[in-house]
Amino acid sequence: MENSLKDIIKQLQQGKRDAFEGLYRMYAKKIYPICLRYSSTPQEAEDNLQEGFITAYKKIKSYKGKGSFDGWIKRIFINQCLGEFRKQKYILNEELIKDVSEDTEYETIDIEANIILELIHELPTQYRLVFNMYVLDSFSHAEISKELSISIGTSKSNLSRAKVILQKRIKEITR
Amino acid sequence: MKKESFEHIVIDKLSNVEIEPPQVVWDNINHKLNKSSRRRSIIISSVSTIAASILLALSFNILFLDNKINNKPQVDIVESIKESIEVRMEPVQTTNIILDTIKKQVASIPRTTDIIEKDRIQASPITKHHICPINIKQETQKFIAYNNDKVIIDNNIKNEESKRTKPVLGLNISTRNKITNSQTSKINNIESLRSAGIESYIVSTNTKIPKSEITLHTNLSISLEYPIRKNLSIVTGLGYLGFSSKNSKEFYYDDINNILANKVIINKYNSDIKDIQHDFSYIEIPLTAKYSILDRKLAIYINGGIGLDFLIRNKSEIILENNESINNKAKDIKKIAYCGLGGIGISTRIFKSLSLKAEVQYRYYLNDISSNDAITLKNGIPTINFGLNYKL
Repeated sequence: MENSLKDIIKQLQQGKRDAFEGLYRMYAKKIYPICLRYSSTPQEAEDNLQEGFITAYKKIKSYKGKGSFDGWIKRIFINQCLGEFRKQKYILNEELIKDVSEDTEYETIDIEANIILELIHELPTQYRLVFNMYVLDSFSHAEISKELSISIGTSKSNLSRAKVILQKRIKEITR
Repeated sequence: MKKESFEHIVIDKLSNVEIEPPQVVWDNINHKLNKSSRRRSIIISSVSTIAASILLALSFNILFLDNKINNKPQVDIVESIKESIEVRMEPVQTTNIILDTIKKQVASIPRTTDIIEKDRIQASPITKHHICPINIKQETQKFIAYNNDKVIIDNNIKNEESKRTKPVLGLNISTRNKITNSQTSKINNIESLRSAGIESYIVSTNTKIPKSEITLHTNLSISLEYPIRKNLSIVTGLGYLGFSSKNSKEFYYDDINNILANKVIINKYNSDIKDIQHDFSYIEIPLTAKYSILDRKLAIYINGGIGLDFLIRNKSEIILENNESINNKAKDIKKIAYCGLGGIGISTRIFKSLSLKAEVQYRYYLNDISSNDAITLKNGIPTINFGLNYKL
């Protein structure tokens, strides 16, 4: 599998356009959930998936084999989604949420991944983005504040609020 | 029961989730990529067509138009001479070459007066001969034009039927009357010369003239880069090269009374030294291979290949005392030059595929740009090239 990925990348870097379908088939299923997590609607997720793949095709020559390809391509799609978010000019709420209990421990819960995705999707845009970036894509608060042009304090409060809302919803569903 | 943090549960559940996107996404991507590929083909073919058209136009200009002007032999003037010619050397500051040439050409035409040669002195190397039209209707004004090829005496001031070719360069050396723009322009047009009554020429030469060496002072380019492999691209485009040189020449002239008396005196005391500025410009079509050493925001690369240069500007300008000047072309400058190119450069992206570049290049001309004795150019020239690069 790894070899075939290397072959596909090599062929694309040599300008062989036909190899791109192989890359799409290999990554579309993994990347689509990321787009769903970051986007406001499924249609927006499809648009981001489409534009992200076109960007990946154009930039494939800049991938030098240093670092994982998964990380490289994932970052392209996250940037695509964040770029779309910036275009839409969401007004981020700077409110700070107080008295939020973080990192509550839970018993192992039986909940489907697609339901968690739906719950993330229901979050207000600013909470959804911060939650995705911090929890699922390992951004620091400093990086989030830079990417979304918000303060670190706002990033932290948005994360706390997102967690509270999600925890509440999960409890309701699994009760 | 095992306790887990909320974050770990979410990460665990979503880390390996896979969802098949709708088929329409791939269809759209495929359609867009095909469209982009077609657009790139159109850009490449358009650029090729433009380059080919420029090449054809330049070739046509070089092969037909320039030849039509430059191949008009000065012999026409000599053949038309019907009347007497006298050349007296006092004191002599000319050479065997000029006298032999004068004799040879004058001997081939009907004449009534022999050339009188009083003395001969070996002068420093002769590099140019000059033809000097004299305006006989305005006797206080004198003009000099020079031509690299021929030494010609035409003292036929009355022959209305004389055929004359266009003087290559004009110069007013009168100290009594300053040249005016209208008079200068007449020099550049033989019909105007005739209508102004300029019907006589004297011969002059320049001595002790240092050779001037041309230096490359401008090199600008726009280029198209076509990647063929990782780090390796083919680059072509258009470049502008400017060469210039400055030197001094000595122009001889004679008193108008001698001209009217059919006596031409080449006299070293009747001479002026004038600055001549030469400017040549070429359009270059390069074809080089580019290898990226560092491909980041500030990229470093090496390149090498060949360049085909087309002469687009050839200007010689004589600077007069009164801040006026007389312009014309220098002879024996190659219209097409070939060179090998090699160098190292840096570039920085300013917009998507467009980048700003600076290159230190060494170019080696495979054919000499100048075969003009007074203008020398080394075959190997280090240059600095600035320009824009578009990566396809």
